[in-house]
Amino acid sequence: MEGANIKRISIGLLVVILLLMNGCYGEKPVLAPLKDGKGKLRVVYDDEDQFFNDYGDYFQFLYPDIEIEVVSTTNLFTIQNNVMDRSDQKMEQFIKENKPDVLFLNEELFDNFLHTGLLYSLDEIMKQEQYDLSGFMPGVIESLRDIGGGKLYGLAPFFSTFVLYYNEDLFKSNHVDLPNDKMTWPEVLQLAARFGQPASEGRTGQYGLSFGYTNAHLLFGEIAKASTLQLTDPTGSKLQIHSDSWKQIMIMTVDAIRSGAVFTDQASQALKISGEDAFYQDKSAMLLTGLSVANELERRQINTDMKQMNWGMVTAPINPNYPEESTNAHLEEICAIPADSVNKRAAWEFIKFMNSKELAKSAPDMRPPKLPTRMQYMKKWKGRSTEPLYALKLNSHHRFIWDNQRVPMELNSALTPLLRDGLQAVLANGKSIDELLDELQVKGQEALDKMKQ
Amino acid sequence: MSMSKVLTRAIVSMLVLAMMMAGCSSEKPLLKDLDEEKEVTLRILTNMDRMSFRNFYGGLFGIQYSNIDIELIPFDERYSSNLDSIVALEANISRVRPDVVFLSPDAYERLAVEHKLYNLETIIRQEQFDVDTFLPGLIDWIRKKSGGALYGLAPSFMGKVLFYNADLFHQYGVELPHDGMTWDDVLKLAARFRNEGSSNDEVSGLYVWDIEAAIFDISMNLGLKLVDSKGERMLIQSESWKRVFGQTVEAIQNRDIRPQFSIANNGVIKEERSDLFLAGRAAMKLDWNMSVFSLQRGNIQGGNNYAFDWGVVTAPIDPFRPGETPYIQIPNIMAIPIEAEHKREAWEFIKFSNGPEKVERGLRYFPFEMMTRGLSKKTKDYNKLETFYKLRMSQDRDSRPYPVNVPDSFTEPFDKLLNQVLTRMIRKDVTVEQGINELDIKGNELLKQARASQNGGGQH
Repeated sequence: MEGANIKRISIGLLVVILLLMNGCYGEKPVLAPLKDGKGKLRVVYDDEDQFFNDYGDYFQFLYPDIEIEVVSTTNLFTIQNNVMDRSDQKMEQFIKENKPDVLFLNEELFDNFLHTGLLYSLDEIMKQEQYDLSGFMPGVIESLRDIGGGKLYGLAPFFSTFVLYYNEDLFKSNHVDLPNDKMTWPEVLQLAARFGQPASEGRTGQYGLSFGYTNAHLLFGEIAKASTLQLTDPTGSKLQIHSDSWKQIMIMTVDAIRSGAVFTDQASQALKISGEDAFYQDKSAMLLTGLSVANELERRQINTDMKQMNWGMVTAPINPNYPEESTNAHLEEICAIPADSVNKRAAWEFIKFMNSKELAKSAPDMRPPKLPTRMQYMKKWKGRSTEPLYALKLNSHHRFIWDNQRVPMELNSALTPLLRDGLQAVLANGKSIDELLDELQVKGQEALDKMKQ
Repeated sequence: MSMSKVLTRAIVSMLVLAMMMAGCSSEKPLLKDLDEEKEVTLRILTNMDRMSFRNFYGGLFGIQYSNIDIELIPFDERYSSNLDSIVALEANISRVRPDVVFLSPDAYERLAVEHKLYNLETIIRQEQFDVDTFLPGLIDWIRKKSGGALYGLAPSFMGKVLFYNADLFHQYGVELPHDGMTWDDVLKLAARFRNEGSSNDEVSGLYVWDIEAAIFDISMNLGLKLVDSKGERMLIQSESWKRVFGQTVEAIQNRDIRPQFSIANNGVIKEERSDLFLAGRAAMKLDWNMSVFSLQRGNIQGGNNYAFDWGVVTAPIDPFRPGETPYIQIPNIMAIPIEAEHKREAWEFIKFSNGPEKVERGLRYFPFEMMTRGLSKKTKDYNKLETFYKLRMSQDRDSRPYPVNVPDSFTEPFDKLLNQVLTRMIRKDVTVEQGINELDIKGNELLKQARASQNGGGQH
């Protein structure tokens, strides 16, 4: 009895001391605490079921008295002529109409909302609560601050990236050294060439590298993205695609496909399998794609009636100009609070939950699997080390060939069909690379001139 | 932190003292208390895929126990018979040494009998874990399987209830079904929906998946088995089986029962385009809880919205055992292997997964399985879904017409034969009696062949 009293008194004292200490600075809480844990949250998300399945149910387990309402993202944009209307007006109107408390934004939208000044800065509350920002993978907080002009307007719990999977058995049986992290495209293609035996009559073929897709122009795009090339001159008005350096990349692409180093459309049609299947079925030694493939690989390992494969992962190819940065990593669900939100405390609790160890732990088992930005909690990804997943810095400021802000992004949609059809014509042997580059240069310049008018 | 530790210790020692003073035997805690600061990796062997595991168990557990990591060891049990898969599972357990295993009821029975599982009775008593508010009959059923003591807990079940289309009942002026009807009652009710519609908009009383399903639905309710427990002999030559066949065949001839799959006069398999009940063209169906999901979602099929006012009553009962039901399946029993390294953490996982907090504060909806612990008051259609918990789970009758040791090499050809014979009975090519004779003779032959090939097939 006496012991219990002493304890009660000492707890009381502690509380008083803490209160006093707080009082010394005369600090008022930045966000008032929830009353009896009660609150409301209006969240913007694609799909209500998915939201609760991935996050909502778990948050409500901890905060059973916070009511959550999901507003579907489809209200966020009106799509006209295949272009999303992301004007400042639209953003403001959306916030006014839906009064959300939490937004899930990709990098581009996050940027858009910030331009309109519609988001609440988290710096003050994080400072007061001494919120721990350590343990995020390199580049995440920097990128977010970068977009926010130095301030942090959101936190991103997950990111997506590409990795290079490899089939260890195929490498060994072909006596080829295993791939490494941070290879450049020429290095990867050289490695792939060691396997190149295109399918032809009587031969099933063997390839070095396949993708989630099989179009030649997308391979070209990936290689270009990780190069030092620019599309135009510094003024952004003169296209310079018919140059020796662009030609070199085009030759590299075409050679890789012709020699069977890379698995593309022709191979896919001949073997009637996808790029992923080519990898699963030992027809391709490497696969460059997203993280969910690891699920499938693991599933195949478990299933007794499927062939087991020793597989590994290394980073996707890098840009030699920025060897520590990823060319594929993106933040897709940046959680932010609108400046007008009336439930900022509940929203902040939710954002902390989204970025917590507890949620991160089961993120790889969401569908699709999600990779936490808090790398300290993730040692394994489907039974493999997560090291290659976190080895490259996430960056939001380099857009590589699109780095030059003077080049309109729409140029991409003008060049893509020309490139797609042109490369196909080259591969079918009807067209020379010079012809194609010439055509791209002329028609691309015409399109660019129109855009610049 | 250290303050709270001191406190916890003080409270624990006081509790221990109190227990000793109360004379409740100077029992030592069976498992060491959970050290919440310690990081532990719990190894769980399961046949669930990662995503379902996260949604049903792992996700919430990770939030409640932030220092326990779960390493999922998936186990796929695709074997030619149930028995083979249990043998493979046992080998897997000794190889990967999991802390928690998800077991089929058959595997649970065998592992418990072989003393390979950790007995939970003492820890349940010491911690006063509530085992009285599970699905009625469940705990007794698990105990019975393992010879009296509890070696595992089952968090989820699948159950069948009788769904009805209230709109159709009103339209035909038939009184609504009620809980605790017998199969005779249900078939009588189904007969009230006979009508002269064209085959496209014709309404029937009771929809079933296929003819065999109708036979088994009725026979399991009476505890009838097709094959004896040793898997050696057909048991189909009985008055009860004759009655079940007779009743079902007649109801199908009268179109009171409409199967999704049937064989037309020319021998071609005919398939209805959709679940006739969900399409609003059958008054009732006996079906699993999954159907609730379709009904709640506005019942959209092939682009059409068939929403109607629906209700549920308990599955038909055996008039001699009115309070119980065999229409319950337990997919998994969670247990701790006797050699598990982290028994305390394993018990915490099982306790949490089977605990009442999870129901009250947990996931909003289980589409495929229901929780044995009951329903959250917040559940949509709470009043309807309560029906799943009304009858006590049968202790000795289940939904399986064959014993565990009958191989697939018997069941597959026999099911085909059954379908053919039933079709002939319905077409009146043979009498019920002749049909049963044929099933008996050919079934016994198939059994003999299957057993011979199994014995000659070498060991696994």
